[in-house]
Amino acid sequence: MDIIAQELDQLELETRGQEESANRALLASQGEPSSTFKSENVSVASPPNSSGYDMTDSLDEAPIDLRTLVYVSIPEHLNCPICQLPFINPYTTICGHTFCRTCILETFKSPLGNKCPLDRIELNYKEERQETEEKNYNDIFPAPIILSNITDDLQVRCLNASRGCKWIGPRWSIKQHLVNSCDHTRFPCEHELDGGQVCGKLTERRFLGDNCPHELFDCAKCGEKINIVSEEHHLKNECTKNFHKCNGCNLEFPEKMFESHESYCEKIHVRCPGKQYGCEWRGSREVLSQIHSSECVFVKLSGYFELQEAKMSDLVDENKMLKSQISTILDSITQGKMTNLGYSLQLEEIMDRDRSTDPGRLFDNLQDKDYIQLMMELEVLKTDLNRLRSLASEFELNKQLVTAVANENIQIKDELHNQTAALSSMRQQIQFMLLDRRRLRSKLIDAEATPSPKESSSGRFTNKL
Amino acid sequence: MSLPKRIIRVMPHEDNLRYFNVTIDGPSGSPYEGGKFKLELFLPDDYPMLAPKVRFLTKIYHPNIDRLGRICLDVLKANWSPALQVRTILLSIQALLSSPNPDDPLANEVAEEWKSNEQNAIKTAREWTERFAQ
Ligand SMILES: [Zn+2]
Ligand SMILES: [Zn+2]
Ligand SMILES: [Zn+2]
Ligand SMILES: [Zn+2]
Ligand SMILES: [Zn+2]
Ligand SMILES: [Zn+2]
Ligand SMILES: [Zn+2]
Repeated sequence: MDIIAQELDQLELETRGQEESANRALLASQGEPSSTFKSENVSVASPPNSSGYDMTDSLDEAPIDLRTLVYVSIPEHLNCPICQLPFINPYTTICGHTFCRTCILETFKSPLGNKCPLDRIELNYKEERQETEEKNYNDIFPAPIILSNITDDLQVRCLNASRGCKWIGPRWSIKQHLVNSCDHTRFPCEHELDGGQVCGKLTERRFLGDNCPHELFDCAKCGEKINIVSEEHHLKNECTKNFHKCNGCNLEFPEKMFESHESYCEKIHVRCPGKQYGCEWRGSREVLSQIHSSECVFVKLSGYFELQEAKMSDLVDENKMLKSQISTILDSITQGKMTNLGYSLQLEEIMDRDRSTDPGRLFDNLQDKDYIQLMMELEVLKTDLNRLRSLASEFELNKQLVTAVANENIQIKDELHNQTAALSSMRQQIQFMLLDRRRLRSKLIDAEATPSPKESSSGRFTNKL
Repeated sequence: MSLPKRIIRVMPHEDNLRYFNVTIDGPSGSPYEGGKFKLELFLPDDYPMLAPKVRFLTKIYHPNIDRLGRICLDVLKANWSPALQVRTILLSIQALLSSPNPDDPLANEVAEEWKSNEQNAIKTAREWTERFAQ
């Protein structure tokens, strides 16, 4: 499929170029007959390249055929699908297609009839409406104004380009240029001749003046009768005595033969090797080797020139390399990327070496990306530290708790100790009291001499303690 | 893949700028492969309102092209539109060489042969290409 598409493209280029040039030639040839006819009436031959814009009646501007315009460049999508030229007065159909007004109206008269030339949709259009209400066709209407504006702004060449006008400007201003300012627009000469008749010959604006530009005078070189209008053409193409010296052979030739001589001279004569530095000399091989090469300044300087040229090309190369490096750097800055700029060392190596020589320079090599990464790591560390801090304070709390528990423990121990002491002192007291009581009882028994049954139970009590 | 070939060439005539000499390479895969077919193309005064006139100058064995080189192609006749261009027409003609249509014939004997004995017809087309279109 790709191949087919490519082939189509290729063909398109080939045929379109041909078609366009043919169209242009067609249009040019249509304009010619009238002008050649007029030049036949002129007694003195005028320049043959007379196709261009004429104002035959200076009161009324001649209509300008915008279809004959030559565009400097044509954006493809501004072309009418019918005439293949940028739109002139574009009209749009209900099916969304746009054509020049005259193109679509002419199509309606063609065998295709009232149909869109692109999708063949039936379009309603009645000729009667055209006169009464131009803008209210049923199915075709003026295209959006912006389209006219864009096509009117396209750059065109002057219609008098073949007469020597170099003007290039927007299409909308071509009329103004031709009518008011182009030096090559022709007007009828208004000077009165001797017989009282008006001259009337079509003359380019640049020749119009106080005197009739058709008054004849003698050519300063050959003496032939010429006038201001024909002078340029005469000197260049007709005059037999308007000599021009050939740089090659030092001979003089009339200007009209000069061009053909120059190409001939080029074939039999060699050019000076200093030609590329500006030497115009041309001549036979012997003269070059025996005379010219020893006196030519350009040849003498050629060594210097070559050196300069070599230096220059080196600089150009270096400049190119620097440019590409700068653009790579700019790219990496805009994309936040750091890439190796073609140095033989890897980036890490360069940074290692910098660190070893001067740690301060490490930061020169740091770029935004590294900085951001460091910041992120710092952030991570910060949160870690905070977590550790809270852990530490928790630990502190635990420690306090443990000490508190330990202290309590000691207190409890002390208390226990006290209790034990109290208990043992109480036991001693109880034993003391028991001993005391036994003593009292033995005294009582000694006194009554009859033991009571209570004694055995109290003795049992004592054993229990 | 190989580079795309120049497949259609158009040259304006020196004397008449409405007249073109056209060369179409026979499409690959068709019995016309390897042939160079010459055509003449003429833009009538009313072009693009009227279709261009196209005719084969090289003898060709094809059901839709007659002995005089006239071509049976709808876009050249009833289905012409001013928005069609010379290159669209030439591409259509090249497509016609790739896919002959014997049901809409201009050269009746050729079409009969094409329908009754296609292999033989293709063989003849290939022979003609070798004989006349080099
Ligand atoms: Zn449409
Ligand atoms: Zn148009
Ligand atoms: Zn101008
Ligand atoms: Zn005059
Ligand atoms: Zn002279
Ligand atoms: Zn010379
Ligand atoms: Zn020299």
